[in-house]
Amino acid sequence: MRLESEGFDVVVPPGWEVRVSRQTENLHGGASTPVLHAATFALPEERGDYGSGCVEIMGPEDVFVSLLEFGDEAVHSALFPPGELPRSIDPQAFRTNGMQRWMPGQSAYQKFFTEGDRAFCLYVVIGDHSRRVALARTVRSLLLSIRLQPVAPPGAM
Amino acid sequence: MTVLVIAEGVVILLLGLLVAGLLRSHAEILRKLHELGASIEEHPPSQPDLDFSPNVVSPRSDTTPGHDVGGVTPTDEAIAVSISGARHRTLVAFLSSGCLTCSAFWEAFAADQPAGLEGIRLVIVTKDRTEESPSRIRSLAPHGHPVVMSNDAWSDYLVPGSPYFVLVDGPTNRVIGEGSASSWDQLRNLMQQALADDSAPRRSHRRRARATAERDARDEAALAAAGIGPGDPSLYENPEEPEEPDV
Repeated sequence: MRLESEGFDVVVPPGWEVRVSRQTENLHGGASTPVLHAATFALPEERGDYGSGCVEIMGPEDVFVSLLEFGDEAVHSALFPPGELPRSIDPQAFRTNGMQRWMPGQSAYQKFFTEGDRAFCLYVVIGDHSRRVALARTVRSLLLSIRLQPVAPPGAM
Repeated sequence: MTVLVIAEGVVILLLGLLVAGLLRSHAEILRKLHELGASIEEHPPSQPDLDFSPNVVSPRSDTTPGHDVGGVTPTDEAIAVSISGARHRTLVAFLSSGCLTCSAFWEAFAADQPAGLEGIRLVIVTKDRTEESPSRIRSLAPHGHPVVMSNDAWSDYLVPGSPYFVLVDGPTNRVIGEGSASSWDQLRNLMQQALADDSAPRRSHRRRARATAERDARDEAALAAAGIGPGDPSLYENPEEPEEPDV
């Protein structure tokens, strides 16, 4: 199944659930920007941008991914250097203290980058840090399926 | 005078035939009404032969496996819901904003935790914005359950009309129950029946496995009591083979 919305183009891998919406919070006070949520479990209707409402219900074999876009002011800023959406994550890069809110057994990975003049934060939570090698492979199956479409030039329809 | 009497007789005969015809027609109507269950008796028969439920949709023309559902929500989010291969069961409810019967389900699903949905995820699917108004669906959408507007999902599941429900077992990707209903109570009963039917073979298999294990344990104990242990040569003799005569 293919999902195209807000400049995200995703060929949803089997067993994954994906939602693309507008962020509920905007730390920079700008216009609401898109966010992609993906999970290997049923995504709840009420979700925080960084997975609150999701990480509480995910099981040890589950993965939650949030890909948040930030406004123009963030593009190529110090926090969002030029880069690309990672296609795989080193299992050792997951940190139990990298969570927005500590959850027993879980760990997280976070990366800020600018790709195609769009600034993003990739935030990934795995359900069991001790299974990070296998779960990193699961994450890879989703990351490989995402294409970030470039920003349309001004005036383009 | 004679002519007048004959004419009067003919008229009376014709009127008699007319009355007889009317009585016969009346009797025919009563008989047909009785057959349809609309008896003029004060206490009608307790159970008619057929239960016509005009608001219930006929079953699908063919069966399908479970399909993931993708589309947009009434709040314009893009959404892809995992059903096939999910670790849970999903009740896919195909509803519309216009059908009268659907309104009972929109209301039932609006309850915080509709009884009967324990362990089952509810996903509501409507037609897309070419046939439904997102604002109308938004006003009906229950809190806490995904609502997907997707014409593809209706095609994938060969849905004959609304309301229609498909219960999918994610791990096996099988449709374990489906159909239409006129109320949530009716649907809940159908679901419970489908779940019971689905679990019966597995229970039976478990019972058989347990019985086999118990029988094996009994046999082992009886052999041990007779002094026959693993590898004993007597275990490999053919009881049908005649013993060789002593020479």
